[in-house]
Amino acid sequence: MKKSLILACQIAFVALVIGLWSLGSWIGAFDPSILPPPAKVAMALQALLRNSDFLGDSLDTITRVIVAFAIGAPIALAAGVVMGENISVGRSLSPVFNLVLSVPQSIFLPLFVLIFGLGFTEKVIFGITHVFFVVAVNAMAAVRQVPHGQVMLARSFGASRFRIYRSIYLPAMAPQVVTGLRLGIIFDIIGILLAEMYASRSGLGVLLLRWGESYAVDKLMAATVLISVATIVINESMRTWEVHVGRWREAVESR
Amino acid sequence: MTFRRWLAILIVLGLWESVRRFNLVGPLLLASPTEIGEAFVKSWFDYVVALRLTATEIAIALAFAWTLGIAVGTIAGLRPFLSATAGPILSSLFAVPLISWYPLFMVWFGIGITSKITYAIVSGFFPIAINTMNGIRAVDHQYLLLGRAIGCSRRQVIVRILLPMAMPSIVSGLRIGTALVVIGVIVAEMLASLGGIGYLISYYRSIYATAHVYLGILCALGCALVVNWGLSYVERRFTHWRVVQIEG
Amino acid sequence: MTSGRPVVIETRALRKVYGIDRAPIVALQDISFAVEEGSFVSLVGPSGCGKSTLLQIMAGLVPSTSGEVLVDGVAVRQPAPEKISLMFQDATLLPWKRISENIEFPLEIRGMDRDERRHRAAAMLALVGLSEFAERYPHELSGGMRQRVSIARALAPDPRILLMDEPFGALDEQTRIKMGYELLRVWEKTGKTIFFITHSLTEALFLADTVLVMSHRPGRIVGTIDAGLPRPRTYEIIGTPEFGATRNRIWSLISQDDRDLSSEGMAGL
Repeated sequence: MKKSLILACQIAFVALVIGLWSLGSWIGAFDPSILPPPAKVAMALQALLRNSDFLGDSLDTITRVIVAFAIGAPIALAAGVVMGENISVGRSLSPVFNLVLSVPQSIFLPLFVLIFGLGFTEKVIFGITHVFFVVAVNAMAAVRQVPHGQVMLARSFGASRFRIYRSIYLPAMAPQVVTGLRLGIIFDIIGILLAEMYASRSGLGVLLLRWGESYAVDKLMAATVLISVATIVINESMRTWEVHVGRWREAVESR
Repeated sequence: MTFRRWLAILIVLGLWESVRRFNLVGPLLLASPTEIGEAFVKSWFDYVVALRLTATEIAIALAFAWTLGIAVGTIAGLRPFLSATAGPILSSLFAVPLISWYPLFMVWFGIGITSKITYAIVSGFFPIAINTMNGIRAVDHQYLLLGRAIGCSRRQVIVRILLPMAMPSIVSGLRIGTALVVIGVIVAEMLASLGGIGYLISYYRSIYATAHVYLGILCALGCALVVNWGLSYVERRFTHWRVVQIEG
Repeated sequence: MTSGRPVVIETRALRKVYGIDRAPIVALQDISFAVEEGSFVSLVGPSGCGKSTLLQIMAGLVPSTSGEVLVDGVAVRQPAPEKISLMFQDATLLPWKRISENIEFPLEIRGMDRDERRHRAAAMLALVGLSEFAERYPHELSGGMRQRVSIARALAPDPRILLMDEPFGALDEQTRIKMGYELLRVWEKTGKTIFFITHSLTEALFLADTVLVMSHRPGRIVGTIDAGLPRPRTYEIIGTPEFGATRNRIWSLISQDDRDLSSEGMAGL
């Protein structure tokens, strides 16, 4: 199966969706106050990108996401590695972590807001909780993947600890760690947006909700599509990175 | 063993109660078991009504998400070209923060039950479809040959060999999808709704009725737990062979 | 080869070409042979020579580019489960079904009613000596046992011929030898026609009446060797000079074919 053919079909699919949307709007199948035509959405998007308020709110959201990730991810990685290396610690903590992951964290948002309020710090903390567990669990799994036979062999050759970490641990762990980071940032974005929608005065989440309530569909669609595309780009880039560091693995799925 | 577990639970409850009794933590932050109990006695009817609504939304959304997800996943999984094309699209769309689409859903479907169900269906659809597709693609080609060699029709190969073989993968997709459906419904209710458990939790938070908030969250967790039990039953019924295989 | 018994399966000038438009790969070339009823024929050849493709064409799973396969004189272009049973290297038992249900499966597809199915499956299971395992699941059985179940399943529909694609390839040597004995025992008891593919010269010769020798790709039959060994076969026969001589003949056919190859990478066989 040629890659180019597949890519062409995927692009054709997206084009088809947009095409049907345009057609539907043109023949009046859609109520323009509920589903505006693509052209209007595109114009609204252009306007937004030039609007300093919108950019300001976007920056707020992005900042919260990045700060939460910058704090949460390294701590989670460290925790995950410790849990993976230290079998007893891992065994006692990992059921807790898995439990947290299986319990929907978003449900606790009202409680969170009740207890802590929802200023910048609190939103970031909420984001950190989303990042932390998934990155840690993946980091722990990554450590478990390190081929211990190779480690023992290297030690028998007298390799230093640093050398072992760099040449064996790192490449072996990299793909799984990157998977965790990718999921972490996605969960982070979800958490921050949710927090903003729920109780905030600034940020993209607030804008979306406000526009929804005031039926400003052009802007709403434009912003929603923009966020979706941005997330897809982030996801695909990280996945490319994941594949890149996983080159040594036999390709089972490249997706 | 269970005695010890009960003892542990009792101890935790006791500590929890005493933390409030001795006012170590304020009434705004934490509600003791008795306070939660009082809240229940006072407002149980509201909770029951809300739970019924939430449960209905979850049930309908699950039914659609499961059927659509498995159907699409199966169709995509059967044709290599489809899975190569649709697979990446599904995976990419899965990464999109669906919560950002909720305001649009509100515009399109109102703030009643429809928008929540739709939102929840879309939330749960992707992991189910993706996992079903991957599960079917992963089935060893020899099983297909075997099926044809013993005279199975195409439909028989799919229903009697492929789908059962793919069950572990499908079920893990169902797990993720189901969790997302439950979260989806409750979060949607929290954001903008006329009823349901999420709405109750949010409402009580806005009037600082801590014990009621805790009770609401417990109810929500209860929903998730019940759904999970149901799913574990499905898992055991359809993948008991796999569960044992891992240990053996 | 000719003893007047009816021919169960026959291939005539079979040819299989892949990738017609671009760089065509000839997998099989001019394959012709006939298998008589009740005989045990093995096919031996190097890896990648197209043995599995040949089997799949014989079973009607894959169409040939030209030439034909005849079962009881009738051309085969579709799977013919009433006539042909297949066995692979992997037992391919359905893991969620019990052993007895696995054996019943082909009969169920063919529409046999329940009691008859059960009866037949039990009989087959007894034939391979695994009756106590009827209610177990495949993962509870060892590799060798699973292959025995696979044999039982293949025999359950009472086929005209059993096509086996390196069925013992995944087993360790001792199990492999035992399975060979087991297969011969079942063969002698049921009188079935068996077509057995392997890349082990010893196994091919030990089991069969006739050994077909196949070349590397494009696969051709470069020799038909009559085993000429008495039955019942015992392991000790492998050490006899007659066995060794015949095996050497097979070997020389294969390596002659090797020498005819000028490309690198195929040496060292």
